[in-house]
Amino acid sequence: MGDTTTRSTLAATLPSSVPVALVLASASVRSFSSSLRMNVLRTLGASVLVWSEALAVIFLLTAFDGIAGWSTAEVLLLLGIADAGLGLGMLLGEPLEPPTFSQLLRDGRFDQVLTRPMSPLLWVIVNDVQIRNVGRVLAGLAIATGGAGAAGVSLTPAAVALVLGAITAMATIVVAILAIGAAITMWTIEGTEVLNAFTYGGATLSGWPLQIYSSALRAVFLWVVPVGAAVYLPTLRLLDREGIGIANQDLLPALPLLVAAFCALAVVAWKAGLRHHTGAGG
Amino acid sequence: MIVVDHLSKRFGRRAGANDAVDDVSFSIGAGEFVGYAGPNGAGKSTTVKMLTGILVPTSGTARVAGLVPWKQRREVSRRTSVVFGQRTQLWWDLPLADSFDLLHRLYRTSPVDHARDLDHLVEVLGLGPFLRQPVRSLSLGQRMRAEIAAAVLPRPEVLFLDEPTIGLDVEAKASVRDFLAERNREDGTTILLTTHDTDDIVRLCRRLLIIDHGRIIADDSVDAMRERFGGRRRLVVDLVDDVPLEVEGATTEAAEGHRRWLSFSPEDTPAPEMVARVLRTVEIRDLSLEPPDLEDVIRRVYRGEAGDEPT
Repeated sequence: MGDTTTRSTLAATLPSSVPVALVLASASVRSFSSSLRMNVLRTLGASVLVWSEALAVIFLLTAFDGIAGWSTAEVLLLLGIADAGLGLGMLLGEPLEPPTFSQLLRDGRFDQVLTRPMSPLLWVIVNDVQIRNVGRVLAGLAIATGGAGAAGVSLTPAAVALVLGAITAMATIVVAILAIGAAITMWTIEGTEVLNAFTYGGATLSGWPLQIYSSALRAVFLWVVPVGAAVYLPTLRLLDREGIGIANQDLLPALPLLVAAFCALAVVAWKAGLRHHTGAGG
Repeated sequence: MIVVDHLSKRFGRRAGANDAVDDVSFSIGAGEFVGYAGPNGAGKSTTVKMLTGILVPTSGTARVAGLVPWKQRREVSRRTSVVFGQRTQLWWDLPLADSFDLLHRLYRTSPVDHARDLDHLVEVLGLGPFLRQPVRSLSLGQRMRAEIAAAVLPRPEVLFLDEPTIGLDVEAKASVRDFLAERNREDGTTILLTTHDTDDIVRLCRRLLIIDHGRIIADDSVDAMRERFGGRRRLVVDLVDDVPLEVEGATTEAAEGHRRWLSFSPEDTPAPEMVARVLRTVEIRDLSLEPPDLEDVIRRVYRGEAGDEPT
């Protein structure tokens, strides 16, 4: 290796065998450390938001002694999984949100992305990892762990795997929703906030038992945008509870299929967006 | 190396929407250095974006290094590079050396080749003093030299350059031009240069494509285009004595001390005949014939003032 290459701080810390996506993500984390104090505050801010949601649930449900047959601890388990999943999804997918992605299109940086030998979706994700969402993930995990403990769930390896699987499923769906939103932004350039109803709104909704919603809303969040399925079905298994209607423990094996089908839809939308991409002016 | 066949791009589907690129066809052989000129909005960048796979055409086809860019985007991007003059392909917050290292990993170039190429680029483009600085802190001239280095590091077969010297000072322009000429000459890299700067074309390109309103209106060697669209030629004469100079068929455009600038129409009086007339008329110390100004040539092509049909 020549003299000039050793001047790269990346080469000094990351061997060449590390996949390029991880190196790009690491570069983006380095950018985070360039304004560390502000970013640490934003990370704490994201965490405080989740804790305040949990406190609201505790105050509300203690007064009413649970909701739809679910105890406060059980609802906290739902809420923790939903928020940790949302946090993980936003950690990766936030650059796809309309204001950020729209800017990427307008200033021509996305055109540059398309000239790289890499998936543009993966590039956009790893090139701008939003570390502050770790605050939401950690707070969600803590609340889920606390809720599970208080609900009498033993932290067996199977239970931990189920929680992590639920968080991963939720995060995957969130990224897929954001990718669909980004595809729409390729048409409209300005982007639309409508899909926030499914990311933030979906996480808020799936933080409560599905019993409290109308059958139409349940169907949407089980079958169409399966954020409800991602959180609710694994939690039913953890608590060994009965669900509502078809949304029962028996449906849990179908969760990977539901997530995969939604991801396939997102990929189709993303590819259609790329075909429609009009490039930055000039 | 580049084959474009009846390529068109229309933005929007409304009736009356214009084709940004309208039925464009041309081919560029391996190792050619071709200029691509045209007024703002003529379709230059849209063409380049289709050739790099950024945009999907409305109709027609193109092959770059034998690949269809919008269908084989990733393969094309491994064999081509593009520099958009006003946009960076580097990582804004990272030291320049880290950007180069990321490109090495991304394009999977061999560590030995990468190190050797980088050493060479650092030397010829003078990148050493700012390799460790974050890209955001570089001056425009430094950044553009870094962008060019980043574009050639993956050893592309084809280099697309979109206004690579825009906003650069004289020294930085010269440095970038010298490097590009060397790259084309030594490595045989095929280069398509989109520019408004006719000096770039004069100094670098042997062939020029001119596009206007989405259509190719001229495609020829720079010399042939000057010949065909050149209009009036200019003769600079240094006289032995400061005397008035009148030559049949020539107009004195300017005079300064012993120097006279004469213009003449080569269609009425061929250049050798005009030189002979000057020599018969007055005693001179020196004489030079300036080539037609390329900017003027291009303007005449836009206006369709002279010349034959595009070839």
